Amino acid sequence: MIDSALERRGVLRIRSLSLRLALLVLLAVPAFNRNILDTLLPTSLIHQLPLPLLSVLAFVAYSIVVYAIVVWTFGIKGLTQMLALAVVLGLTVVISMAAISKAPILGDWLQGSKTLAQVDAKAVEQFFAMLVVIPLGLLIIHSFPPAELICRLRSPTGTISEHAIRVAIVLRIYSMVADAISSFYAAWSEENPKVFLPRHRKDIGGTDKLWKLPMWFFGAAATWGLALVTYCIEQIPQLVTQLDVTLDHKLKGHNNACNK
Amino acid sequence: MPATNERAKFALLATFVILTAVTTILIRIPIPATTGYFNLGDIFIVAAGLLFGPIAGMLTGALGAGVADLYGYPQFVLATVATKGLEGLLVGVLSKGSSLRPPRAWFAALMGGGTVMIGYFIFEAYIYPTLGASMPFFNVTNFQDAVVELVPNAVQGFIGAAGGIGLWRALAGLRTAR
Repeated sequence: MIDSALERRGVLRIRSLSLRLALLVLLAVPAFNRNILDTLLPTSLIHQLPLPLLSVLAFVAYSIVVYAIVVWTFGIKGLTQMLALAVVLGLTVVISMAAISKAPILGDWLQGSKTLAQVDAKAVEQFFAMLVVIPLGLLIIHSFPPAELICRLRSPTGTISEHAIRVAIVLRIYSMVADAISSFYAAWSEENPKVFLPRHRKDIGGTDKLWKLPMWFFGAAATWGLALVTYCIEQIPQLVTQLDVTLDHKLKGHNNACNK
Repeated sequence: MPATNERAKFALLATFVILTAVTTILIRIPIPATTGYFNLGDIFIVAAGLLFGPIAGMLTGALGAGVADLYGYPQFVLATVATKGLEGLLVGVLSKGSSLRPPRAWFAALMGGGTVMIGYFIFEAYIYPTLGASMPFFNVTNFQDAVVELVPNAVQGFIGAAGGIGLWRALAGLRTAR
């Protein structure tokens, strides 16, 4: 995803960083504003079908615009990867919501005065919102490659402030974490399905299921979190060295990469 | 070289802050009865407090969870920055010392979880309704909602403590092995 970003496609062709940011913020307003999202996705009316056609069409049109910009910038493969992550995480959230709302005692407590239909409607809204918000979030993160940022934040004399370097580090780690999350779940599910998919665990079943399933959940979450942290921390020395080399290279006047 | 070391330390802290923010945003399970939600971000806040001390814990909690709330729940940024920042700070302070053993780490992590529960209750039951009287933006909770959220916040505090301890033990083990 990052390599293709450096090829300057799609939104990356917009040279002005502030204009690029402004356009992306404008694109994100409907997805990141709960009032607009609730208007576009009136799932509270889901038990009173049909839904308002204009709202649904507006949401579909908005999704298509977001997907088109993702394809324009990262290609169809980039969009497929982002959607795969969105579906996996969306299903995880929806299934967890269903499990929690139907859990004995706790479910009734958390449901409050809401009916099950309203809870389900909320889950449907959450799922469809994630299908748009996750690709959009990843598009925004990957639209500001750290190498490009270092070039742009340089002063006319060629020096780079420590603040600019730290902004670049934060962006680099953001894209690293986003990449790790998107690729790890699928890889681990295939390589070690017993950890992540309870249907591969023959020892979970019978009367002790209520006890063993939460234990399995904690185990899977801890394994996932540990691998994620370990992967990210392992990259830090390489990241900092790479940054030093890049800075050194640019300060000595090798600015070809910045002038592209 | 000193600049490189400083950047490496900054990168390490930024990793925990970003992991907190990203996991909080991505795995967000709404609580139907209220406007709140479950998340797994506390695992990284507790781990940061145990591994790197009070300041890093506080920054991880305040910045990571605060940034996450900007998406979808901007009204709660104030409560989150204060409560989660205090959680990380408290875990760091209580676990500070020469040799940290699991019982003290558990105590620190559970106190952190308790801070989340009490902190959100105070904000949702008293501070937000007071602020909401003059600023409609903050008019999002009331005493009844705050009582309902005590249980999920306690569950989340426990999950954060257990997960954070697990992460701390695994990462501390890796550090010792090297």
